[in-house]
Amino acid sequence: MGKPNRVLMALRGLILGLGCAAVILPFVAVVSTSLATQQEVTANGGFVFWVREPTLASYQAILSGGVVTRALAVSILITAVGSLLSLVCTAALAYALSRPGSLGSRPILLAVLFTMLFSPGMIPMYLVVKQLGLLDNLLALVLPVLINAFNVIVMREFFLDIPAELTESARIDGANDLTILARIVLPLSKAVIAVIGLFYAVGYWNAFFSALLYISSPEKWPLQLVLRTYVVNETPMGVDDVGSGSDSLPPQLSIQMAILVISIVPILLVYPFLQKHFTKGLMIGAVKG
Amino acid sequence: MSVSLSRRSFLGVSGALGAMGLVAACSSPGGSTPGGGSTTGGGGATAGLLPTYQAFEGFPPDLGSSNPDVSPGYFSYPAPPTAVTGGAPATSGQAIRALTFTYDPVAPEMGSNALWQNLNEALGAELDLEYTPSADYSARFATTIAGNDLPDLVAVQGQHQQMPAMLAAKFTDLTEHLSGDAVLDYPNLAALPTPSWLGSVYDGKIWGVPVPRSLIGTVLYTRADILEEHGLSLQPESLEEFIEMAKALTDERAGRWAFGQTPFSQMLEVNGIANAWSVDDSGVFTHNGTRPEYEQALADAVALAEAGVVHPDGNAAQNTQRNEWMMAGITAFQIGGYAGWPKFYIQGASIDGFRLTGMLSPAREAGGTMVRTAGNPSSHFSAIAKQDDPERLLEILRVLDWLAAPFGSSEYITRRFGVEGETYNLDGPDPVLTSAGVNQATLPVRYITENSPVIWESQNEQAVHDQFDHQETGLQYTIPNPTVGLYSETAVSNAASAQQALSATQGEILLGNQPVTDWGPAVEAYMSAVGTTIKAEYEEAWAELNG
Amino acid sequence: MSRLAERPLPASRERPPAPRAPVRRSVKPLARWRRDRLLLLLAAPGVVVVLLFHYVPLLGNVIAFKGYQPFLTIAESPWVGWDNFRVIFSGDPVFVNALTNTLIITLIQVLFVFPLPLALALLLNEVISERLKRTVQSILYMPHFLSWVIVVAIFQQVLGNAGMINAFLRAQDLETFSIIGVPELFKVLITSQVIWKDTGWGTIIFLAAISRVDTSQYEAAAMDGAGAVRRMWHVTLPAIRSVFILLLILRLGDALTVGFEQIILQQGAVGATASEVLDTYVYNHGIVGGNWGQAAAVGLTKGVISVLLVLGANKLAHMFGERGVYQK
Repeated sequence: MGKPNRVLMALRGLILGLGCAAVILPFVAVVSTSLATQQEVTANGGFVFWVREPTLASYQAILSGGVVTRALAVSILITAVGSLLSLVCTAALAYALSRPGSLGSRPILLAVLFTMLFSPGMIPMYLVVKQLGLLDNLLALVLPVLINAFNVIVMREFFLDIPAELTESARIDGANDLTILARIVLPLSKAVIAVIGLFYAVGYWNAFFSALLYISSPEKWPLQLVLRTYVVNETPMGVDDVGSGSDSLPPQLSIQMAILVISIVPILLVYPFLQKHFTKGLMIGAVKG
Repeated sequence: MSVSLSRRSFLGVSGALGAMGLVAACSSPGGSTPGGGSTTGGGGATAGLLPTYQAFEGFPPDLGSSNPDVSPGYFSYPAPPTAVTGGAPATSGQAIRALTFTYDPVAPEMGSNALWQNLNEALGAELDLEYTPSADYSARFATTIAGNDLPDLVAVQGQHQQMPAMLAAKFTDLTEHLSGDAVLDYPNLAALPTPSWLGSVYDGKIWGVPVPRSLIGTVLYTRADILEEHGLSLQPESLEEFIEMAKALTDERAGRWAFGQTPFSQMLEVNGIANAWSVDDSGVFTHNGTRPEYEQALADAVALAEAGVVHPDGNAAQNTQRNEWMMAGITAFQIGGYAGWPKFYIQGASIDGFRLTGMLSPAREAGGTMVRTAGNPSSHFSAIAKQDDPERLLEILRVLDWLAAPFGSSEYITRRFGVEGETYNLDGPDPVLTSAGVNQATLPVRYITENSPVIWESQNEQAVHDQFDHQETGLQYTIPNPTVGLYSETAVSNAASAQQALSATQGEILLGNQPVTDWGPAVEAYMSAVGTTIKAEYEEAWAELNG
Repeated sequence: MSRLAERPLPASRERPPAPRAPVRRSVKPLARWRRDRLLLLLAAPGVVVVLLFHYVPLLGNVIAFKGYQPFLTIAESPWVGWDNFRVIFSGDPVFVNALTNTLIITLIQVLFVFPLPLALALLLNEVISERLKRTVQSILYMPHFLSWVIVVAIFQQVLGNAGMINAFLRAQDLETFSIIGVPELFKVLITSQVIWKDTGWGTIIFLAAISRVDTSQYEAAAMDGAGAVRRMWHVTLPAIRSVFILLLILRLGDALTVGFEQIILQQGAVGATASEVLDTYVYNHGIVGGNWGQAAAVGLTKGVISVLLVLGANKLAHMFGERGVYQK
C-alpha cells in the first residue's frame, strides 16, 4: 500500500476517536445507572455517570420470577429460526429476481418493491393472521415478516454484481440455477448474507407489536414485549400505584437501564461473528477454493 | 382521542402540549357527576339508572370523613381479615376469560404462580387472564373487537367513535342487573362509589363494572421537607405568596428550581377554572377556554416561566425524569396523578426526613374562592361480551362482585397477596409480599374491577395522614367534571383536529413562542369548528340524564 | 494479506455497470417457462408470503373510502367516497406547515445524514489494523439499539439548559448555551441525534460492499503510486456506487416519513410550529386514534407519492447510466 499520509492519518484517528468517545460515554452511563442504588440515582437526579457502589439489585429484580428468562428463550428461538427462514427465502427470491429477463421477474420485483411503499393496516393484518389460525402461535411472529422488500432488493443488487462470466460458464458446464445459487452465488455473497442476516435478526429481536396483537398468552411473549411492561407503563398523568407491600422495588431508572442492557447485549454479541465476513478479498478466495 | 391519548402516554409525552388542563380534560371519559354539589349523590334520572350506593361498613377506618368522596385511611390492615362473600362465585366450572391491561411487569404464568392458582380455587373457575401493557391496549382492543372473538370480560378504556353503537353491537346491557336496587344482589358492586359508574353509562344503559379511582385527580406533589427547610408554608394563601415561595425555592447557580414543568393547571385553578367545560343549574354548558380567566391563567403561567422558577429543561423532559428531579431535590414540586403517590415512598425511603404532601392551588387573592379540577372517578370499566345464557351472565356478575370485595376482606388478601407463607407473610396485622409474591402479585386482576380506593401505608402513619388530609381539604373545592357520563359524538370523532390546533396554540403560548393574545382567536376558531356542536350535544345529553 | 497472491478476477469494475447476465427475454413464452421454472420455484415461497401477508391485507385499505369502525365488518361500513382524503387536500395551513417541515427535514437528512455512513465506511476501510477496525466498528454501531426515549434523555442530560455542560459552565461563571428547546435549532438537534444514533449502523451495508472490492486493484493502484485518497476515489467508490444509488432511491421512497417517535418526544419543548411533521400531524390530529378510514387514506396517499418518487429517481438513475432498483 502507498505511503500513509501522516496528517490524514491523524485526522482519521481524531474523528474515529471522538466518535467512539461520543458513543462509549453514554453507554458507560447506561451501565452505571443500571448498577446504581436508589441513593445514587436520587443523588444524581437521573443518570449516574460513574457508579460508586455497584449493585445487581435491578438485574435480580428483573430476572427473579423466571418471566424474563423464559422470554429470552422465546426471543432467541424466534430470532434464530426466523432469521434462518428469512435468509433462505430472501436469497432464493433475490436470486430468482437477479436473472434479468427471466419469466415474471419484473412484475415480481415491482410487487416486492411496492410492499415497501404501501403498508397494510393493523386490523386487516390481524384478520389475515386470525383466518390462518396463527393466533397465539409463535409462527405469527415469523411468517408475516418473513420477506422484507428492502432486504430482497439489497441482496439482489449484490447478486447482480457477481461477474456473469462465473455463472454463465457454470451454466455451460450444465449446472442448473439451484446449483449456481448454492455453489457460486452464495459462497461469493457471504458479506451481504451476513448483513441481511443481521438486519433480519435485529428485526425479529426488536419486534414486540406483532406479539402484542397476535400472542395472547404472556408466557409466549418475546423479551422486548415483556421488558416493555417494565418501562412504558409509567404514564405521565396516571401512574398507578404498585400497592403497599412491594416496597423492595429498585429505582425505576436503574431498572430501565438494566432492561436496556439485558435487551441489547445479546444482539450486540452477534455482530463480531458477522464481521469476519466483511474481510476484503473474500470473494477471490471463495472462487478459487 | 382516547387512542391518541394513550399513545401519548406510551411515548411519555406530557407537559406544555396536551397533557394538562383543557386539552386532556376534554377527551377524558371520567370526571364526576353532572351538576354541582355532592359528587356522590347524582340527581334526576341518573339516580334511577345508576346502581344504588351501599357503603360497606364492616372494616372501620382509622381516618374517616363525612365526605363520601374521601378515601378512608388505614394505618394497618384490619384484623382479622374476614370473608365477605359466600364462597366461590363461579359454579359452572367453565373458565372465565378476561382481557385487560396492566401497569406492572408480566406475572409468572398460571402453572408457576401460586397466587393465581389460589385465586382460581377461590373463584371456583379458572380465570383466563389476557393483558397488554397499558400503553398498547388500544391496539389490542381494536383488533379484538374487529376479530369478533371476545373474551367474557373486556376492559373498555377511554371513549371510542360511535361508542353507543359499538357497545350495543358487542356487549351485554347490564342495566337490568345493576341499575337501582338490582345491584344490591351484588353487595360489593353496590359499595363502588356512584360517580365511578358514570363512565360505563351510554345511551341511558349500564355497560360495565368500573375500576374506581379517587376523585382527587392530579396532585401538585410537594417536598414538604424541603419547604420546611426554607421555612415556607405548605399551603400558600394567594398567587403572590405562591410566586414568592417558588422564587425562594429557586437557586439556578446551585441547580435548583421550584417546578419541573410550568404549573399551568394550577394557574387555571388559581383563576377559578376547573375542567374543560362548566355547566350552570339550567344545563347550559360553557367552554372554559372562552372565559377571560383562561387567558389570565395563560399570562400567569408565562410570567411564572419567565421568572425562572421552572427547570430550564422541564418542557423537554419526560415525566419519569421530573419524578427523579423532585426526589433528588432538584425541584421541590412535581405534577402527577394521585394514584402515583404511594410509589414515591418507595423511592423516598432512602432520603432522610422525606415527607410528601399535596399542595392545593391557592385562590388568586387571599381569602378568595379556591377551586380544583376533579379526577376521573374510574380508570376504565369491564364490559361483558354478548351473552345468551342468562345463568352464565349471572355467574360472571358474581365473579365481578367477588373481585370487588372491599379492603379488609380475606378476598382482598387472596387477590393482592395470595397464599400466606408462600407469597406473603404477616407483619403484625399487615400482609407483606415475599420476593416470589412481588412477582406473582403483578397479575392484573385489579384491572378487571376492584374495591373503592382506600389509603393504606403499612407502618407509615404520617403518609396516611398526608394523603387523607390532601383529599379531605382538596375535595371540598373540587368541581365535578360536568361531561362525565355524557357522550358527544363530535367530541370523540370529529374534534381531534380542532382540539389539536387549540392545544398547539396553548403550547406555543406557554413556551413563549406566541403572545397570549393569540388565545382568543384560537378558541374562537375552535368553537366555530366543533365547539358549539359539542356544547349542544353535551346540553342535550345532560338534559336526558338529568330529566 | 496472503490473498493478494491469489489469482485476481478479471477487472470487472472498469466496465460499465450495465447488465452482467445477458438479457434473456427474446425467447418464446413456453420455452421461457421451461427454462425459468426452477427460478420461479425458488421465488415461490417469498412470493406466497408477500401475497398473503402484504397484498391480501392491503385490500383492507379499501377502508380509506369507508367510514370503518372495528365493530363493523369492512363490508358493513358505509361508503364515504373521498371524505377521508379531505384532511390531506383541504389546504389546512397547519397541514401545509407539517408537510413543509417534513420536506425540509428530509432534504437535510438526505444531503447531510445519508452520505455519512458511506464516509465513515471509507474512513474505516483505510484503517490498516483489522482488530482496531473491528473494534471501532462494533462500538460505533451500538447506539442504533437505543430507543429514542433514551437517546433524547441522553442528549438532554448532556446538552440541556441544565445539562452537564451548561452546569459546568454555570459553575465556572461562564456563558451558557441553549440548543434544546430552541425552535430555530430543532431541525439541527434532531439531525444530530440521527447522526449519533444511526451513522455507525448505516456503514454495515457499505462495509459489505467494500469487502467485495478486488484487492488486487488496490495493489495495482498502489504500484502506480496512487495515494489513499486516489485509491478510494478510483477503486473503492466506483465499486460501491451502485449500492449507494440503490439505497438513495429507496431512501427517497421514505421522503414523507421522518422520525415520528423521535419528534413527538420532543414536541413539548419547542411547540408544534417548529416540530410538526406529517406523521405527528396525522397522529396528533386524531387520525390514527380511531379514525381508521383517514389513517388508511393518508397511508395510501403517502404510498402513491412514494411510488412516484421511487420510479422518478429510478428513471433519473437510468439517465445517468446507473442500474437503479430495476432495469429498464
